[in-house]
Amino acid sequence: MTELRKRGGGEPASAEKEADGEERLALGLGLAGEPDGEAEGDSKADTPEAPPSVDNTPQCLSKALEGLSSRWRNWWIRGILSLTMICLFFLIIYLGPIMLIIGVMVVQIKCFQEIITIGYRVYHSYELPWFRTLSWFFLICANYFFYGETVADYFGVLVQKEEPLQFLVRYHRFISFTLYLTGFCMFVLSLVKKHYRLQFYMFAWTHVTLLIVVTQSHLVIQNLFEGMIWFIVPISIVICNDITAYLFGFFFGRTPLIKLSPKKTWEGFIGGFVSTVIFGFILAYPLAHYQYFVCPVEYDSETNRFAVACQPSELFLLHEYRPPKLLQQFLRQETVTLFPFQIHSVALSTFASLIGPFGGFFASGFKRAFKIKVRGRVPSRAEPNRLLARRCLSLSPHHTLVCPLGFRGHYSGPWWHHGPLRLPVSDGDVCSRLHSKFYQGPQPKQSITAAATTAAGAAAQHLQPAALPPAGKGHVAPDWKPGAVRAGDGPLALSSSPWNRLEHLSIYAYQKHASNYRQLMPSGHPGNGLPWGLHDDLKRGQWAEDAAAHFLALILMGLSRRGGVCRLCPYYC
Amino acid sequence: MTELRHRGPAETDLQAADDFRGLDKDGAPDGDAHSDSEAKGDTGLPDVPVPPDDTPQVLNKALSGLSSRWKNWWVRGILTLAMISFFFFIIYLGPMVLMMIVLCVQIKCFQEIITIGYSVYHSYHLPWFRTLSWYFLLCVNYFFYGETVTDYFFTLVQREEPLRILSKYHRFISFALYLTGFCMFVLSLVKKHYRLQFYMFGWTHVTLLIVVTQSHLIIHNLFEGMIWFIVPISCVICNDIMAYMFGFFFGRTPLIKLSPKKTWEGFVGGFFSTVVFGILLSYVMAGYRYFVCPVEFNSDSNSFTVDCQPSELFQLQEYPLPAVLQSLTGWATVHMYPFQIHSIALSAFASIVGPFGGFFASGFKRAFKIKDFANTIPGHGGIMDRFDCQYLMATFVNVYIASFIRGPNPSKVIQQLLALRLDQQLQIFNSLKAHLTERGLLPANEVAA
Repeated sequence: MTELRKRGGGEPASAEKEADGEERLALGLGLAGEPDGEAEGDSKADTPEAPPSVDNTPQCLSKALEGLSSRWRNWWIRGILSLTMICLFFLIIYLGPIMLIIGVMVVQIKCFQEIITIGYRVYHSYELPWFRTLSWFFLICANYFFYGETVADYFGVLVQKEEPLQFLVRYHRFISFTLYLTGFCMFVLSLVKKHYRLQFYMFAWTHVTLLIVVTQSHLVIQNLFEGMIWFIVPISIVICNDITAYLFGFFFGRTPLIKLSPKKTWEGFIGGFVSTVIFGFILAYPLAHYQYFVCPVEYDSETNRFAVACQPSELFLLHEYRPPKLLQQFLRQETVTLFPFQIHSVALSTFASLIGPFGGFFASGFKRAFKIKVRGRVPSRAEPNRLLARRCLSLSPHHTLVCPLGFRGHYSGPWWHHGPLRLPVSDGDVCSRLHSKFYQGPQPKQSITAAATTAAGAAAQHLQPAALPPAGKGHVAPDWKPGAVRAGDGPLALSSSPWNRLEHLSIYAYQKHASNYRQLMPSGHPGNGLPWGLHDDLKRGQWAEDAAAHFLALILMGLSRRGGVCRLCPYYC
Repeated sequence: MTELRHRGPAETDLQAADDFRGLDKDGAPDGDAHSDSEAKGDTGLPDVPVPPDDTPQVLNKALSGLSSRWKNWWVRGILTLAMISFFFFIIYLGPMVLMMIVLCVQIKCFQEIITIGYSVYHSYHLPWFRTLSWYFLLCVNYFFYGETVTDYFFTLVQREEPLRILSKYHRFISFALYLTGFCMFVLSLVKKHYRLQFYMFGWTHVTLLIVVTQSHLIIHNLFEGMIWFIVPISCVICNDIMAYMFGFFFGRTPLIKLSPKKTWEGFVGGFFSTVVFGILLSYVMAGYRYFVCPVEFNSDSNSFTVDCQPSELFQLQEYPLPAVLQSLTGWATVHMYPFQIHSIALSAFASIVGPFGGFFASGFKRAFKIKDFANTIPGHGGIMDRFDCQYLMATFVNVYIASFIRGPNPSKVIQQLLALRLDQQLQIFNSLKAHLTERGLLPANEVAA
């Protein structure tokens, strides 16, 4: 998409390059995966300054899956990456507590950076003086404070030995407070007259992000110190809930759950709940046998390493329970031997399945509120911060904050939920691209542009032909930059009458789009968790025409300076 | 200033800031320590009509003869004196009333800031949001007060059965309450208003972070001893007044662009006078047990008592003076409370860093184009206007006490010990005995009978 952006800068582009770009986009939509679950480019891709995202699927996977259709290709990529991430998870667990702590810290820093970048984008505040430095400084302060409290607790013996550490521990709160104050005073001194409000917004954004991200990650680490089982079981439960809710929704989903996430269904929710409880119960059993998982992590001052060896507490010793009569008959046993921990795991699973999804809804709402799209990307199943989202909401009952974090994944979902529309769904780029197709070389390369011209032609029949700025006649000033379609820009300040006619035209096109859309989607929501019904070619063509009419309407609205967002079908805007 | 808001979203900050500057010049700043708390100005809420001059009638009549500038001075002066007397009065009434007052102030500050948020985002009619903000305030207060109460009212809590359960599962209950609010928020998200709702959610949380945590730290300070509450607040008030006076009489060099009425002369003069004031005030107060003793709850009489043996900090000690001061005053040593040395640190903080809280509030008011936080106190603005410098002070005092003053509390350790299981208590007893025997405090060969 680089050529699209460059065209925004006024460079002429050949139709050829453009076709390539379109095709790559079409492929990229179904395919882009993320190696290693690091969701790098997304938020950056939305900012006008950053380079756009490209198809990230590793070369080997692309080659291996060349033969399959795009839909199955998508499935395979998701599956492979899920397995990769789960293996990575196991590896880290094997490597021990220190690696886990480092892993959590890395995830925390990445989450913080992502949210802050969203804030910059929302407020167009990337160039605020000092602000990037201050955000990272506050992150360091908060981490220093929290790690200091943890370290002082768990590394008591080590700390008593070393003199400088003793000093740091004794005056820890004072030092943390001083660091924070320094940041605060720097903030006050950096207030610049023009940017007061922005700076306060970013200050608040940073603090809320710290509150959410940093406190949660430290609670996770405290859980870890209680025993690795308190870290592994909740995370696994959340992952299991995600996967089973998705599978149940896929196979049996009918009734939508909440307007906020239209793809979630009650069947998925309940199925996920039941299977998560069972999974947690079963998972707890083998893990509770091993001291490695069960013992609190302690620092052995003699060997200078972490040790996990202890006498397991009562929770992790097998007990006999008498199940109620019904179960007794079912199992044909009078007593069952269980770990008490398994009963606790039922509570954890219940929380993960019932309340955990609210974290996902919060993140969905956040993404819709700030119009963040996972554009055309197959959302990898276990991106770090989505994990953080669900996992944080299922912290052990010992700890008490909720973490509604998660900024990848569920928004756009698999492409077939939206219909076979292959166009990218960002604002500005498509408009500029289609606009250029209109005015700088109208060669109908694909069905979509053909439909667009048809729709334009149809629209033209209802108005005087002179009203429609015909292809190539160049009513538009030659140096007009399609990307700069914003109110108040200089190049659009031309004579008003062509723009009035454009406005009429845009209204007409929009009405056509609206009627198409309502025909195709009477319930008003694309995708109720039902993947069927959008695959027959007739409907495919209708969707394409609707999309074309819609984009035409957007372009014309932009040109006529009405601006606006399609309120009808936010997935296309 | 209502017309500024109606200009619409295309307005740039630059434009608005220029307008605001114009307004500032028109407003005839009648200086006080806070650059822009001009009383009778409207608060910038487009929905609320400009509030009329709400100086009490009696004051109006008494001052009707003077010109408006002096009238302003007098109104402010009288209300300052009124507030200070009120402060003394509630100190006299005791710790319980102080806690109530802190709670009231906190609620009022919260309400003021949330109202500003509503007016900034025009989100007064968001579904559920007002309920949710107050609900979150309630949750956080419940959490914090629960932690405090469990600490300080230990015996009372252990006695009453329902209180015991509440305190045992306190964190869980607080978390459940917070989660309920969170889920209500998610369920209340309405398609058109997503962004607004998230903004208000963020606004509420930041306000809670600022207002509620500060007020609880103040109450912690209070429980250490009322002197730890009174001296910091007085230092901040004194710094305000002194900096204003010095600035008024000697002010030449501006201090910071953010508050154009503050001057370096005011700042430095305020610093010195606050330090001196702090030393004098703490000398006076440290003599009384009423101020010095930690506030404790007497479970027999079911009331608060402030009665104890004053700690070392509050006993007169002799300090040798450095040579310079010796020659100045002719004294070899001076009798001081150690607390007075700590008060120098507190005053220094109040004068140097405290004003940053004021600048922060000024920046906030300029950013959101409001003159005052609210119009509660005639002549001064809202409650937040009075307390913006206290913002950091409470945290500092709390951190200071935790780091430098408070040692481990033996009675608390005993409380925790007695709550353990019997075999654990025995284990601790044995290891403690071994330790003390090793140190020679206990006779070595103790034979159990």
